[in-house]
Parts: sequence; C-alpha cells; structure tokens
Amino acid sequence: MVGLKSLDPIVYSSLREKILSSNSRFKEKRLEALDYFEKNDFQKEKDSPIQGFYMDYYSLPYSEIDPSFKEYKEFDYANLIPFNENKFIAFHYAISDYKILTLDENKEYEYVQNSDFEHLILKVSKDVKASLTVKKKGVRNFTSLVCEIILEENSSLNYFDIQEYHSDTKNYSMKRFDLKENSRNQCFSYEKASKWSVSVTDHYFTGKNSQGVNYSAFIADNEAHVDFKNNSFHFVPNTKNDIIANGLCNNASQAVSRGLIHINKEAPNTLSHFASNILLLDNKSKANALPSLEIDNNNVSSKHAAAVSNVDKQQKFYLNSRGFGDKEAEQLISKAFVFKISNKLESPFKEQVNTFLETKV
Amino acid sequence: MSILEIKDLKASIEGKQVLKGVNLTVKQGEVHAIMGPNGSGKSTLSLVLMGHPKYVVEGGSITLDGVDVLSLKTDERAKLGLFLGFQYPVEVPGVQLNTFLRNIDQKFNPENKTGLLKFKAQLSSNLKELGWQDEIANRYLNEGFSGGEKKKSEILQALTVKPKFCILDEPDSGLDIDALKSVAKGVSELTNAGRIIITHYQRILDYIKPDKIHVMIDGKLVLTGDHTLAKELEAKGYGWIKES
Ligand SMILES: Nc1ncnc2c1ncn2[C@@H]1O[C@H](COP(=O)(O)OP(=O)(O)OP(=O)(O)O)[C@@H](O)[C@H]1O
Ligand SMILES: [Mg+2]
Repeated sequence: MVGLKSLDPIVYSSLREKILSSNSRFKEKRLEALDYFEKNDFQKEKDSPIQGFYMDYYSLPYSEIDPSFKEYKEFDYANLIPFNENKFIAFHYAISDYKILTLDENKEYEYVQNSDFEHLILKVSKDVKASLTVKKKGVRNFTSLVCEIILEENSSLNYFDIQEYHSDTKNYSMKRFDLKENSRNQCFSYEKASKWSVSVTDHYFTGKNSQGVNYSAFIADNEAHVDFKNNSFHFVPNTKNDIIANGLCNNASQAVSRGLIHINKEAPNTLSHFASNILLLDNKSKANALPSLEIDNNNVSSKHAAAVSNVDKQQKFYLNSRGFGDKEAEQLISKAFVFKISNKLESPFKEQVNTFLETKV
Repeated sequence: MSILEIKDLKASIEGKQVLKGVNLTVKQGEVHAIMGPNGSGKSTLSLVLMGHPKYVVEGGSITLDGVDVLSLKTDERAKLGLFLGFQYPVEVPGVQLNTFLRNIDQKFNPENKTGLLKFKAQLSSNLKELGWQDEIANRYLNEGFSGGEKKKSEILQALTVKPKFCILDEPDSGLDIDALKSVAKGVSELTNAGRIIITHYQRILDYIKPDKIHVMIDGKLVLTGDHTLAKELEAKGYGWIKES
C-alpha cells in the first residue's frame, strides 16, 4: 500500500478558513478534529476489500465541499463517539452538521438524512417505547452519517436503518447505541452497498439488564465494496446481545463482515452472539467474515459463527424441479437468506421490515 | 391421453454407469411401482428424468407426448408436467411453505392467479388430507421437518402442481401408520397423473393398487408383473431374479 499522505495544503487551509469564518459554536473543536485528521494515518484495516478507499479519500474534491455548520442549540457535544476515534470520524467532526433528536413519545419517528455530513444524537427518553426509521439516500460523492443513540433507563427502541445511497457514493456510516439500565433495542439495518461503503454498528451496554438485537442485511451488487462491522461491548452485568449480519454479493462485488464481542471483567452473566453469513452469487465476487472475541470474564456465554458460501446446488435443483428457472431459483434463495433474519424480529417490527424488504430483495 | 416413454436410457454419474438401458412406458392415470435392491439405480432414474446436472445421459430417450424431455432444462421439464418427489427432500430455510406453495400454484395453475381465497381453501383441504394443521405451512420449506413430514411436504407440493407425470421416490419411507394412509390418499388424489412409485415395501401398494410393478436390478428393469408381484418379492427377495 502506498504511504498515506496528507490533504492538499490548499484544500486544508481552505477548509480551515471555512471553519474559522463560520459562526459555529464548536469552532475550536472542529479545528482540533481537522488537525487530527491532517496529522494521523488511517488505520489499515485487515483484509478490507476497500484498502483503496483510504487512499481514494485523499483524491476527493474537498475544495467543493461546502459545509453549512448547522448546529442544534441543544447539541451539547456529547461524545459517545470521540472525534479522535479514527480519521474518518475526525474529518466528519470538523465539517458536519450537528443535530439532536429526542424521542420522548411512544410513537413512530422518521429521520431522513439531508446533508452530506451529519452528526446525529438521538435520545430515547426514560420509559419511552419508540420506533425510528432512518433513511439514507441520494447521489453523493462522499458522505458520512454518524449517529449516537442513547437509550435511557427502561426505554425501548425499534431502529430501522435504511441505506440506499447512489451506487457511486463513498460512504462512512456509523451508529453507536448506548444502552442504559433495562433498556431494549431492536435494530434492523438494510444496506444496498455502494462503490465504497464502510458501515459500523456498535452496541455499548452500560446499564444492567439491557438487551439488544441487531440484525442486518447488506446487498452488494455491481462491483460494490463493503466493509461491514457489528460490534458489541459489554461493560456491566446481565446484558444480552444478538447480532446477525447476512450479506449477498453479486456481479464482482466484495465484502468483509466483521464482528467484535468485547466483554469486560465487570460484566458477568453476559450473553452475546455474533453470526454472519455471506452468500456469493457469482464467481467474481469475494467475501470474508471475520468474527473476534475479547473476553475478560468467565461467567459469560458467547458464540460466534461466520461463513461465506455459494448458492447451494441441491437447493437450486430442488427449486428448478418445482418450475423455478435458474435466475428465479437464485432470487428465491437470496430472498430466503435475508428473510430468515428479518423473520426473527418481533411483531409488529417484523412486518414493517418485511414489507419493506419485499420491494427490495 | 398423455404418455411418458423412456427408451433404452443409459446414464452415469462421476464416470460410473448406473442406468444401463431402462425401458418404461407410463400412460396418464396409470400407477407403476418400481422396486429393487439398494443401489440398483432407482433414484438415479428419477433424477435423470428431472435433469439433475450431476448425471450424464449416455444414450436412449425420454419423451412426454412426443416432446424430447432430455433436451429440456429442469424447470422446463417441470412446466411440461413432470414432478419428482425426492427421496431426500431439500431444506430451504427462509422460504415459508405457504408462500412457496402459492408461488407454485401461480406457476402451474395460472387460471387461479387471482384466487387467493380459492388457493387458501385448497391448501387447507390438502393439509387436512395429509393430517396436518394449518400452522405447518408457516414454517420454512422442509426445515427441521421430520423424515415423515418431509415426505408429506412432497405430496403436498405434488397436489399443488397437479403434474401430468410424477415419480415419487420412496414416498412411504419413515412414515407411521396414519401418515402412510394420508400419503397414499394424497397419491391416489392425483388421478389424472401417470404415477411411478419407487418403494421397498408392499405396504403402500395396499392402498394404491399399481397397474404394474417393475423390478430394477443393476440399472435395468428386468422384470414386470402385476400387483401380486410385490407380495412375492417381499417373500422371496431379489436373489431369484438375478439368477434367472
Ligand atoms: N456421486 C456419486 N458418485 C459415484 N457413485 C454414485 C454417486 N451417486 C450415486 N452413486 C451410485 O449410483 C448407484 C445407484 O444409486 P441410486 O441412488 O440410484 O440407488 P437406489 O436404487 O435409489 O438405492 P436405494 O434403494 O438405496 O435408494 C449406487 O451404487 C450409488 O452408490
Ligand atoms: Mg434411492
């Protein structure tokens, strides 16, 4: 890999200028983030299909970026995700719009991403049971949406993440859930992978008896590249998480699906699972599934499983024998691959997700 | 009247010839049974008939009403009216049995296209016939089904497809007494179809009287008789045929 160089100095100083002349309340922090971005290297991701992404990042026309620096008044710069976590995040912090959304009623919320760089803080208030659909769409050169989602005590959330950027988009998407005591999160993420796609979903279990379900399906088609990560961090006793990340790769696409389960010393009675399966639909596609574990407590149950496979020939013949042509049989098998996870969701979230998936898969 | 003709069919798998010249003619509505020792090629015949990609046809012909079956792909054979009830039905997790049957129904009975209610009523009655509760149809296709349940699932699909000819590979294996009766009932419902039943036991033939019983040995149908042949085979085994 070529050495990682810095931004074009002209671009750098013009971005700096834009930040300085803005009326952002967080100027200092933005500049600090920009400097971090400027001075640090990308972490090289092992086995990533998108190594080039990190290089490519430099050739983006930053000079065309025109941040609006929108900032919600209530935004208090709560840092579940610190700006110096990595280089993408740092850049993101330097120029993003900062928004805050409080879910304080028992109802269905919808959020649509509306600028290229957005940092969103979502708070689900105590005792509230809410649903939220986050939609990410559009034609973009580069985009990053970073969400911090805080589930207060006894709250419950159904989080439906729909990502369908234009296929040329390079994107860094991250969401991190912080689950306080007795909170419950049920999350389904659908991603139509674009040219370069990094998607990270983290669950932080910081409150006792909190539970998460995190299912996701990505579809990588037409030379898409995706680096898909689902991590689970257990810091306190009696928490539970179930991650299933399935993906389809077609037409020379590449994917890696990672999952880290981290269980602290102070977190006995943790139950944490990670499973990932990727189905390759043609012989030009490539994929990898890489689960990993960091466990410091013995009194826990943790399982991980990952597999990359091709369309099962016996299944295909069986469907052929029932009048399904080759394409049709493959479609049915792919669909089944996605539906077998969404069907594990609880009603009525399951029906909501399935209705959506029916039109997509 | 439809007619399925298999002439001097020879086929191999992984370089090993399994079918060594099979001749069989089945007419619409007829019931034929094929019996024979393990490994004699019965399942091979069923899979070759359906066009399994692993088998190489080395000679002979299969026609359905004059149409060259061997030149067709598997799904085209199905659409032409051939149905295979698998010896080992395949599990397809993620595909619900009822949606799958609905798909099949629309494929094979386009005249029903709009009639969801009609389909549901039909499904319900088929399920009942097989001694099944409606709930089973919400499960994934064959996933976790017991041996007997898988066999029932094949019959349920056949009842939905309404094929011209079906070859049922050991539809009676692993069935309890009641299940055997319901499967047999299901098979006898397919009155319009020519039916080839591969079996090791005479039991199922007590419920569905075959027009002919054939014995396959070493890749050939070497003996044909009427329904009484099953009893004779059960008593004497296959050794005497090999010798003759
Ligand atoms: N992939 C394979 N490679 C080599 N030989 C094979 C393969 N598949 C099947 N055979 C052989 O072909 C022969 C016929 O098998 P087939 O399944 O048709 O027998 P069968 O008559 O259906 O037996 P059973 O009554 O046990 O079901 C057997 O000897 C079997 O071992
Ligand atoms: Mg067999």
